[in-house]
Amino acid sequence: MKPVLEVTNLHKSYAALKVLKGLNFNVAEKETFAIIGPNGAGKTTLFKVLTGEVPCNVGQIKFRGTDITHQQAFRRVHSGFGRTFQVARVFPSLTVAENVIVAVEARLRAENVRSGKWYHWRPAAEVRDEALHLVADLGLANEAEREARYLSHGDKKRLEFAIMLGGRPSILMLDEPTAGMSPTERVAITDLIRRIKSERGVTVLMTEHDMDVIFNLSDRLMVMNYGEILAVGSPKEVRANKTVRDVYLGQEMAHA
Amino acid sequence: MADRSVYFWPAAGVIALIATALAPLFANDSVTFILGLAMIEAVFALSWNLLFNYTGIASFGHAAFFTLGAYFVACAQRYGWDVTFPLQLLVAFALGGGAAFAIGAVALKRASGIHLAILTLAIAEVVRMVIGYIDYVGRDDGLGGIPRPVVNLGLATLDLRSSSAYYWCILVVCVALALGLWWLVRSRYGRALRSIAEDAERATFVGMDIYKLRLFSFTISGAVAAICGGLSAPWVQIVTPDLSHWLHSAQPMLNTLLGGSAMFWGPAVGAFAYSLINYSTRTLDGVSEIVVGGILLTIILIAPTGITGALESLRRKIFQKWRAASPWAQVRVKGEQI
Repeated sequence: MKPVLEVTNLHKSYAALKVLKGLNFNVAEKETFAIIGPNGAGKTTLFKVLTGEVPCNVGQIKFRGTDITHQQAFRRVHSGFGRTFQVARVFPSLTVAENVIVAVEARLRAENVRSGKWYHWRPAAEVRDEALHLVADLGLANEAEREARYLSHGDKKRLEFAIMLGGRPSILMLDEPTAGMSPTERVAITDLIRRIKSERGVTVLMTEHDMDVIFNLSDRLMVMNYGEILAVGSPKEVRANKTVRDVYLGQEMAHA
Repeated sequence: MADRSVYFWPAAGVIALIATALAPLFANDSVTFILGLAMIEAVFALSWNLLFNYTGIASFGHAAFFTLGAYFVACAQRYGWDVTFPLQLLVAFALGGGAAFAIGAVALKRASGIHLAILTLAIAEVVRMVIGYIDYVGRDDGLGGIPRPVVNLGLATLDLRSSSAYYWCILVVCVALALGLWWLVRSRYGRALRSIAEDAERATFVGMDIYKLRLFSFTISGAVAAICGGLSAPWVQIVTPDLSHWLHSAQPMLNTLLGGSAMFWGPAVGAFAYSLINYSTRTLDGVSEIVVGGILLTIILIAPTGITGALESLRRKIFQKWRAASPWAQVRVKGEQI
């Protein structure tokens, strides 16, 4: 199958500090691809380079066959990237519904679709319907008219997912989706990601620290250490890999 | 039973508008003059707040655009250019927008936050210096004796030479501009701008071209500021380079802080309040600046959300008290989703 994302010889350094040292990997259509590694391995930097927040020094990123290495972040969003942040980021003084409406309207603007008359204040009915549907789908129906700042951490994360889905992405970039959550919330988010995947047939690329979540969700794993790839493979293969065990997973995990 | 206190702001607005409109009939000339200036400063402050609160950009040199519009209209009136007054205002609008677009296109690409603030401040000072070197616009002395316009409408002529006629002209233009801005911040563009003000990076990742949207906002804001300048020139009948002084750029900020940045009409309320404070302390020879400063400081310390913010929380408090005391309270709480 043709890969969705092809990364070739990717280098990134901040001044003298080499953070990414020539990464090569592919992400296939509709798979869940997880990136793991100890702190400082370069996961977040890799994420930022892939989403377009920071430029890379050397290398090439291809998305569905098109070179996007030098494409600006918002254009990558237009071509199908969706992103959530490690600490959920929403628009705090907009209401929950408005948060998603803004995302839907941004998508329509990018697609050059006119929604409602230009002089209308209120979002067009179809925009509102789509946004409220997403809000309800993520279990926030009762919060729709509240300002987003008052949401709990877990609900903010759900809202962030709703904002992301408002852009109808084909690849989800999830930066530690369960960071800072209770075990119950963690299970809920895991189920949510699985449901989104099965309903929408999207590709998921995620970083994560929680091994339960990783082994539960991912089809393939990539282990990073000091800006290099230690191993790529199915969870089973990675668990069996000796170097990975030494560097990251530890003995216990390997027997789990 | 619906919350009747929602009528508070619309009612206050209508009363204020009627009072302002009727002022020339009752008030003396100096009060009318100050009210006319306050209207112009109010819209000037609203245009600044479009950047500050609704887009998340702090411009410290907003007076540069005001000056541009003021000098254009001043020259056109003084030297009798063959341009009718409404068209002069439109050209001022275009000039201000064009200048803001050119400055924003460069500045917004690179700078944000404090860098942008200093950059805009510097540009306004440059404008002030450059005007000081041009003979045609009267160098440091400025242009005085600017006549008020007579507008030829084809069938009828509109004589704006009298003070009250020009006052109403200011009123109409200012109300139109304010309503235009009000519409803008509520439209889908306003929603997009607000989301950028809240979290620009997050907005990028819903696919917004934040550079383009910021530039759009900067352009509109500059254009509105220039019209304000254009309106002010025939009212004050003199323009000087000091219009572009940083003190004048600070005026919309002060008005916004005083009135409250979070509510749309806050800066306008602030502009009128500032004029009132200024006017009522005018006879305190020598100490009026100290008194004005003291009053402003006190208001801002007591009400950090500005006059409108304080009134709004008062409105809510009173309504809650009234609701709690009402025999219907229990019934309603059960029916509501809380």
